[in-house]
Amino acid sequence: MNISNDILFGFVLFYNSLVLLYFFSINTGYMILLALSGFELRFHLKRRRTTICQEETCELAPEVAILVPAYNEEQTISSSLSSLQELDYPNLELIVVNDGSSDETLKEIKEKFKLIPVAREVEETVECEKVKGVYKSVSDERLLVVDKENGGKADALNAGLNYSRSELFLAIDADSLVEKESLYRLVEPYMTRETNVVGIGGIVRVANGCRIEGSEVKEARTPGKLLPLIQVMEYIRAFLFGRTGWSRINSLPIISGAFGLFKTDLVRQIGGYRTDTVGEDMDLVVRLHKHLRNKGEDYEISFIPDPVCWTQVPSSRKVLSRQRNRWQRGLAEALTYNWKMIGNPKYGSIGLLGLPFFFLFELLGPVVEISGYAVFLVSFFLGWINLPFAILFITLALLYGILLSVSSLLLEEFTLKRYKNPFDRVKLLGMAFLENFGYRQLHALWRLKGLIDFFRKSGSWGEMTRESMESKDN
Amino acid sequence: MIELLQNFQKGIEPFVVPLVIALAGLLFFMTVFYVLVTLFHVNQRRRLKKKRLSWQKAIRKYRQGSNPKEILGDRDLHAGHRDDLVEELRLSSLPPASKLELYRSFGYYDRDFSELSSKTWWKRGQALNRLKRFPDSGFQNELKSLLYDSSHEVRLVALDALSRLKKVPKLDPIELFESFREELDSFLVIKLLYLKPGMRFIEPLVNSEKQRFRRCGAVLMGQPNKVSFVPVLKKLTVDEKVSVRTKATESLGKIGEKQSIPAMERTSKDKNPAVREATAKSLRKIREEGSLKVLGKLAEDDDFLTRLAAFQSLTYFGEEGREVIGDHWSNNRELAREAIFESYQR
Repeated sequence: MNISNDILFGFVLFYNSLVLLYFFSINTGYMILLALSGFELRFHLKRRRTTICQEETCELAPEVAILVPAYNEEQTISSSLSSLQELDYPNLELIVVNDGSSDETLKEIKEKFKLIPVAREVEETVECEKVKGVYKSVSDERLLVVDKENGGKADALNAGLNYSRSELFLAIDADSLVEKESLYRLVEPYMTRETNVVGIGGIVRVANGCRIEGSEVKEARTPGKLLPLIQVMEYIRAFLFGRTGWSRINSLPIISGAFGLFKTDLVRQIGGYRTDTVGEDMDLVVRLHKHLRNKGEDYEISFIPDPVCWTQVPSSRKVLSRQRNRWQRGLAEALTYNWKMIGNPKYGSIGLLGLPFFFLFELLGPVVEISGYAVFLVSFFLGWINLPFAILFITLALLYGILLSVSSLLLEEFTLKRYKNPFDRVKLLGMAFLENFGYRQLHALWRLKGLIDFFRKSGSWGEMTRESMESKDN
Repeated sequence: MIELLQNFQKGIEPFVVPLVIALAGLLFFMTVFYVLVTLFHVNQRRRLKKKRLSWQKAIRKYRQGSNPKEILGDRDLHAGHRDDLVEELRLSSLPPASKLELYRSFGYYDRDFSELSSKTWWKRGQALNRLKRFPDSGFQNELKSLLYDSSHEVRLVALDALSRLKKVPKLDPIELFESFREELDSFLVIKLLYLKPGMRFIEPLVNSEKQRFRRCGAVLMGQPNKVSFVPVLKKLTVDEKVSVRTKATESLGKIGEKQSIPAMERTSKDKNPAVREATAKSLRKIREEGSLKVLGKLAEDDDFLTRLAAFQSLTYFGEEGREVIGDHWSNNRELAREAIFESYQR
């Protein structure tokens, strides 16, 4: 062997050892997270739900503003707003922010909800793009529509924050359907927990394939197409075992931008959403942790699994790859902007556990995975690999992946049981196996591309093709 | 270095095969378990329906004078059964006393009662959660101790149960509030308001040195038409703490009595904008001419939120309110325009 071969051999050996270490750490981490989720879900089920208020005392329930940023949502905005109007909650404000849509979003809302222009003076506490007009609905006094110049989702949410007059706000996506009782369930921990709850996230589920009547999901079903079906599995895993586990140790670094309740004043205090990132939801939660830990306050940012928001997921590979690319960029941006918190004991469990985990395993995961495949191929062709060991190792990796997915399905089965049809459950079980062969690798590639785009400072929000909720797939 | 890395990998090798076997075994077990659970749940809806029908039948027969035990035999005391019957009873139109008798006849009431002293927090919580459907059935003393339970979750259920009682056990309000953290004050107050507490309960709170208690006392006095609270609330509107003055002002609004207007006139000049804002909001509930005058002044307040609340309140006064809005149009065009719109919408 010559010197360059020696160096290459040494590198391959070193890299393989690194991958091995990484593999054992990530899976140990996931197993601990799984156990934490199990404990949390068990506790959640044993806990009895309490009624927040009834009739006259509901006046004292906290006011909630629902902020709906809408950009080119003419297909879904009406059904989404109708579902919000049906929400079972006494003190509600509905604020739709039309973020300079180039389609007929504003026209659609104007016609359907009988809007007329009004002037609402606000104290602009959070910066946002210029507001072109404010409208109120004649048919529903709770509805306010803010028409502004395009500035992105975060900017639209900031405009909504300025116009909100409520104690709490719920940020949701315009293509989402929120279940009737969800708001009560989200507000309940805010009112009944012993700590100062400043943010609460609910579960986001896949609407594709569900039986939707009007603006209500009547029956949870799995979609027929493969890609959305795999995403159903992904969402169950991410929410039921990921977020529940982090919430258990108050280290939840993200509440989905599609369904999160926050204290309005506190978010205004920290300057609202950051507009120069595509990961504004994660960034907000991390900054909230930072702000409150810096002040030394006792607080809680929590995830609860039963308030449900249904959302449409991409059914084409192209759109899905763009979405995952954006998520990865968002993650990278949120971690970069708040890098001082990573591994910093000053920030407690979020600094020592949550953020390092997200940095090492969620952000660098695709890099290690893809480079691992590449080094494996190189070593294989150079004959430097112990083939039986490599095969065993790959089998182990696949087994871990499947095991985590099946565990999430079992968590779902023993707790929330949203998919009643046995055929759907079998389909999901199939996906727990199938997603590891091809999709997982493809997903790692999309995320790696997202990371590269982050370093190249390229990439945008990306077009998201929307379908009406009453489409064929539903 | 290379040797070290090779040794590292060799060191791991012996563990990989057992790990693969263990994981494969675990996965196999979990997959089979998942399939079995799925199969078990397939008929769940049908089983639940059957169970519900049998309870409904028992209730029907009981209404016709039969002994439910003769119809259904001895059912076990499983918590699931108890939950099901409680739910069916909730939906039925039986009088409360009959509901309790039926629940007792299966031995469920006694079982729940004994579980109130269980060592497991969720058993205590769940038993109380069922018993709260039978208010005033004799568990008041137990409820009193459960209000100070070591488990926060049980205390919440106890509070819920308390709010359903007609005969309220004698409680020390200070002790009760102290057993919950300050974050829960608004929830506690909502629950206590169901009981429509009187002056005897509220007095120790109002006279407390702690602003937290005075504030809660002020909120508890916000009961419509309770004129007797007005003098006490008037005193609280000059409290040294802003939060107490604010809540007292809000409660005066909730009582909605004309005699509160002079006190509101004073709070409209409070140095703190939160109190002035509360005044502007509260006056919408006292539809008197005096309120319009105070609101007119507040519509020109320095504080934006106070002006906003004043204009919003004026929308509740119909034509007279619109006139006052018109008087203050020039300095607050946008607020006035929105208020006029809302006034016609109401």
